[in-house]
Amino acid sequence: MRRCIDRLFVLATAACLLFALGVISFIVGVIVWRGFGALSWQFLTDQIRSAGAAGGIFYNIVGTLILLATALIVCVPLATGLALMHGVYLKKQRSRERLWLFLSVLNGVPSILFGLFGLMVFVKFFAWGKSWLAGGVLLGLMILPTVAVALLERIKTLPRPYIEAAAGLGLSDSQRVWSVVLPQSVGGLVTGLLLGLARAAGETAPIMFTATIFAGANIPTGIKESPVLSLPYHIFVLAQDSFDPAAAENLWGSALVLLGLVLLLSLLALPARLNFHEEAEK
Amino acid sequence: MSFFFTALAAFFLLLMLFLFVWQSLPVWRQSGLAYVTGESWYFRQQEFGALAMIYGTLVVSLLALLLAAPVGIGAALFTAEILPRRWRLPVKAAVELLAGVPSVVYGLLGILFLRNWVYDGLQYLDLLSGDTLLTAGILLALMILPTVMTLSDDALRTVPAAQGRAARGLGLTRAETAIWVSLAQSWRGMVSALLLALGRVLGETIAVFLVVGRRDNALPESWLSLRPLVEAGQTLTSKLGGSEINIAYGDPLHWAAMVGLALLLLIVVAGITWLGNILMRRKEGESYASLH
Amino acid sequence: MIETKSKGQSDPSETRTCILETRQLKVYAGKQVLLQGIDLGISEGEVFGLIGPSGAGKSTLLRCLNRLIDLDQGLRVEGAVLFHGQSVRGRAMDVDELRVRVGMLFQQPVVFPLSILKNVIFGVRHQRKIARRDRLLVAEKALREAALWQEVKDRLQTPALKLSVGQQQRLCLARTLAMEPEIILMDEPTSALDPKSTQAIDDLIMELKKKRTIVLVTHHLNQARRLCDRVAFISAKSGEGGRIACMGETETVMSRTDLAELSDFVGCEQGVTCCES
Repeated sequence: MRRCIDRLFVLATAACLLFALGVISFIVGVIVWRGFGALSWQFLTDQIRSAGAAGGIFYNIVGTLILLATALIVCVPLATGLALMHGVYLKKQRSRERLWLFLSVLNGVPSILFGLFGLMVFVKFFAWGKSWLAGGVLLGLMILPTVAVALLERIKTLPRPYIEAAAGLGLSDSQRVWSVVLPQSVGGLVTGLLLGLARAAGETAPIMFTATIFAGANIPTGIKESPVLSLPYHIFVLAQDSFDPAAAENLWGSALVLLGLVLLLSLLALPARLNFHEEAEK
Repeated sequence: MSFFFTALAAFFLLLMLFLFVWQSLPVWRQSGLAYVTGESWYFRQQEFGALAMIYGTLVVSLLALLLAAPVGIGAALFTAEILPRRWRLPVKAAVELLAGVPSVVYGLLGILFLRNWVYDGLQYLDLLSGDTLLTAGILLALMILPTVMTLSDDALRTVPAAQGRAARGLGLTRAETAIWVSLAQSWRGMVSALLLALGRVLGETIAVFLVVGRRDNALPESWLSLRPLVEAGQTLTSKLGGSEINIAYGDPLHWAAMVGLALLLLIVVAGITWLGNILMRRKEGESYASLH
Repeated sequence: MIETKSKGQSDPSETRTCILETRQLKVYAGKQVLLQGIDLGISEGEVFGLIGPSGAGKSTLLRCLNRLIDLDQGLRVEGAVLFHGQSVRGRAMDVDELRVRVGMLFQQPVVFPLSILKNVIFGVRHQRKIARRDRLLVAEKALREAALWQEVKDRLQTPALKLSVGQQQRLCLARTLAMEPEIILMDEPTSALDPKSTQAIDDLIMELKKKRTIVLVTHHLNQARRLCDRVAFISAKSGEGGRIACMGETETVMSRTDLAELSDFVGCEQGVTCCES
């Protein structure tokens, strides 16, 4: 009886895992299978033509990269500030817990709300209209918790002697930060940024009202009224219309490029993450 | 410097809350709580009741969680308790990687496959289309499955290996050990993982938008009726993601009603996050994973 | 070299029933050998000691006996372990049943974050249905046998983690005793304890050996002298796996002087000579 239940348990949980892995392989498989045909040098370097039915996605890739770069620049100082606040400056456990709660809440804010916020503040109040800068700032804020937490976890694991030695030399808090803490924990920042950017690259909701349009933009030259094209919005729009078959191939191709970009970014962050898991195990 | 940046980030969140409250004031003034309980939304008649969207959001989210939780936890039990070590790492890596597939990609697959499968599979129910609350729920379940899995796995692994070994030494089977030792000791982490997943499905926009049908005022005759599951509906996020937001901007009341939806969503999600945080407070160090 | 000789003289108890024995038991971790060809037989009702320097594979050997070794991944076991003449590694063996009959006490006490009462009946309640009102009886019997009853009888509902480490170890013993095992494997059960708690466990073992068979891993020679009827000295040269250097009646083994490793070990324990000459 007990043996039966045990066998059943193993079978059932194995089935769950197989199902999950099946779903995962299906998703990747379909995208690669259908999208591979669309990939060509021309697809990657040509601009969008006839509403996505022809041409390529060059400016969509460029636009997404511009958004990511902006998000990166916005996020780095903020995340570093937050992590140092938590790991170095805040001495009371209670204040650290509050900061942690703040980061969790920010992390939980649905991305569409970032979009709406951007619409109110950047598009309407600042009267930028749709602008790459608005999109970049929003994405930067959105990934802030991911980056800050990755960095502060690394700071936490710094060997005590390092920090104590620095304090013993009579360095002030901020001298210690620049000479010991940051150089030793920059890896955490990089991991966090990779993970954050992987998430930002695929987000549609924060940028669809604030930064990106479907066609008719290339490299922005100013801030006001200077939208960009982007990969996720491209897919979003094409997927919505019952598009003509000619666009379908482009659609799959774009999905493959986007998936590739996201997976590449998270793949780069993977070793550090798995390391973390394994360490946590001991 | 650090202080300045921290203040800036905190200011941003407060500003968001403030803006949502302030901009939605007109609709609260006009309708009060009836805005939340109102059953009809006809913006041309200046009638704004959010109940149908709240209903849609709840149905879709709970459905997603109900489908994803057992499978995700089951799979995590297998990876944490039974899978040999050398297999665990590659599986974990694959799952972690795939937890990041963009929602628009899920939306695309939902549109091209899932909605047809739902339509064909449930033909005997006379569906009008494959765009239903059920479709959205299933799609979201698939989307959060990797997250539920990897977070549950993390939670299970916080139980010291010695505990499991002691239980096996007492002659408990693998199943008994998994339930009475691993699950019993990590339920906080599990619940907080599920809350995190719930927060994510509540706020998910793009994938839902593409397959939910976006039909206004879709409320069931009876609250227990299952029929609305296979009909088109609207969620808070699919409303916010639609083009109505651009129409609304010129009209203060309509705009306020739209922003009100955002405020509701923000409050609910923040509440859930807070709850999850309380559960995990004692184990701050381990909540690293809960932020991905 | 001396192995054969030691084996020959070591088994006056051959006539008694051997309830647990190993035959040419080998354990590998990858290419590394942890145990090489262990042959031993444990008779009913005795306290059998496994002594030797740390790292020689005593714990590994112990874990083979109730197959707890299966939980350590990457290890390969060869040879046979027989329990009442039946191979414990055969397909017909129900591992969980085996572990009920061959109980285990670990080096560090591992209590579950539950009440004292629930800890005691943690294992046995899966073994057989126990009516709610019988739980106390079962727990009391086990706790009395583990000499813990007097100390905890008034606070059975308090968390077991509040007990001292020594008490926790006796609680773990009670938990095992509640299953009514035939053999109890003890893996250096006192190495984490203070002298007083060690004494308590030692006294318990003396008491328990009247009814049960015990296999005791220890590196305290005094403990072995006091408690064990027979001992096996396990040693490992660096780079090789552990093997039985000699085995027999406790006093016979302890007084041998012809075995360099053993006299090193014994001398070291007594503080006469220094380790690793």
